[in-house]
Amino acid sequence: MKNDWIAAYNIERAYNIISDINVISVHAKLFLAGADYTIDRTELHDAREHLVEFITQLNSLVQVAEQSSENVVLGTDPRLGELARKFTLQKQRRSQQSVLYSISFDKLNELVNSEEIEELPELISLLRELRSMLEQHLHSDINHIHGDL
Amino acid sequence: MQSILEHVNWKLIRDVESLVCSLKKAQIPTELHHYRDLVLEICEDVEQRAQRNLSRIELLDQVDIIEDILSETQIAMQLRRSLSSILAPPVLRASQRDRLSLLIIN
Repeated sequence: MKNDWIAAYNIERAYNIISDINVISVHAKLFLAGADYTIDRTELHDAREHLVEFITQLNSLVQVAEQSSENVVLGTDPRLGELARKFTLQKQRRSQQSVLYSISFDKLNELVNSEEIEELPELISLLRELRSMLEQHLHSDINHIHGDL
Repeated sequence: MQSILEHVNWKLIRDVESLVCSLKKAQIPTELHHYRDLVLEICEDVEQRAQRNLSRIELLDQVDIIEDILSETQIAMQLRRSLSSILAPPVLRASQRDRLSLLIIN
């Protein structure tokens, strides 16, 4: 039962963060293309705020994982700790191939709030990688919840 | 892809509307009213996501945001699946005989 609750909580959090990523990504692409559309400023502001909060939280856990010999994060939300552990492992393995694993979290947070045209392609690419990582992480929780049926 | 996404999102809206009708019609013990309200909130969330996807699909002729729409559609579909398989059944199959158990849980 406890694992069900953890999985359900992680699913809800991941849905919200992925939706925030989608809001920011759509805005960045439309802005970059000079498309004619109405920006929902409140939605964009909230999405940026939530994503920055999540990245900051992940950053602190990744720092703990990096200092641990086995990349383990103890005493925290287990699924977020697991995400930090996976992130650290990926960073060690493929930092040269991926923008997400080579950029600092502070720079990532700066980009999330950026309206500079020249920074948007990098932001779009980073958001794509971050979303993909979260979707993969989410998959096991969805299987856990629906697999019990 | 555009037409598939459009079809899926319209279907999500129709399915959720139908589920909302069933949930509202269900004769349930008082102890389940709050739970039903929470399930209805999730139904509303799915519908809003699908509506938002349909609005974004209209922008596809200006810019390629298909991966973002696809991602959001997947979330709406997964929520729809959770609604029908996990969240809605306790309301749709509720009976007055559940009251004692619900009182204990509450």
